[in-house]
Amino acid sequence: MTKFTPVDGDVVEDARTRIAEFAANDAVLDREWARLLADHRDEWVAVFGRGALVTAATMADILEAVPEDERDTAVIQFLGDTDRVLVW
Amino acid sequence: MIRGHFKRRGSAPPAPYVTVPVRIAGSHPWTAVDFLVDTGADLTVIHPQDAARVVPNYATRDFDEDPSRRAVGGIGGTSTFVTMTFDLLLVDDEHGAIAATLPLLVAGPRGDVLRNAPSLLGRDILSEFALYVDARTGTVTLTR
Repeated sequence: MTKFTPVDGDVVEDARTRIAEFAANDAVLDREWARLLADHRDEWVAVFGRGALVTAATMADILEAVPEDERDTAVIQFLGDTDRVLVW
Repeated sequence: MIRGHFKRRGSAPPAPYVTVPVRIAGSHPWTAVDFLVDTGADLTVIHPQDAARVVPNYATRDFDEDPSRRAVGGIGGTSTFVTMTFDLLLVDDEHGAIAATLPLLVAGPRGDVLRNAPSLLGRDILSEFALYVDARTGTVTLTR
């Protein structure tokens, strides 16, 4: 059984601040993402979810999603803090 | 009362989430993680997109050598997890917060199946609360 104990004071205020910052950032990212998808609806060929880790494996997935004859000219756009990828 | 929220990911129907500040036990600072409320999960798990923000040196950490390593199966397949001890804070909307220190499963960074998966708030934590979820009104609450 998980044992929860009450806490108060500065740690709670710090936690509320972290949650508020997270929610505000999330809302900004969602709006940015929706706008980019709308602006480039006919252009993107691969989209990885918000928060996706961009790793070597991800890059392989990205290239796999781009037609072979377009790989030399494809634009791979890293959005935000490189946590979203738009290929077009 | 701890309040959550509904969030839509891609084309899936909106799902219930609770934002929980977490940290490796005893360390600083806190990092807010959005956990999907998952009554089907035995344990609370942190998936790669959040682990990268919460666990120091996550991408280069050698999960294969970790003695707590174990394979865990789910609907999306089987992936490698390790156990790490975290502090969690569940913030009440009126009366402060409650804290717990407990082991959580952390997905390895090479879990491709789970790369974009949300972290899960499982029954190890949910069982301590009365859970109310109503998508019609966008209400998610945990009450003790």
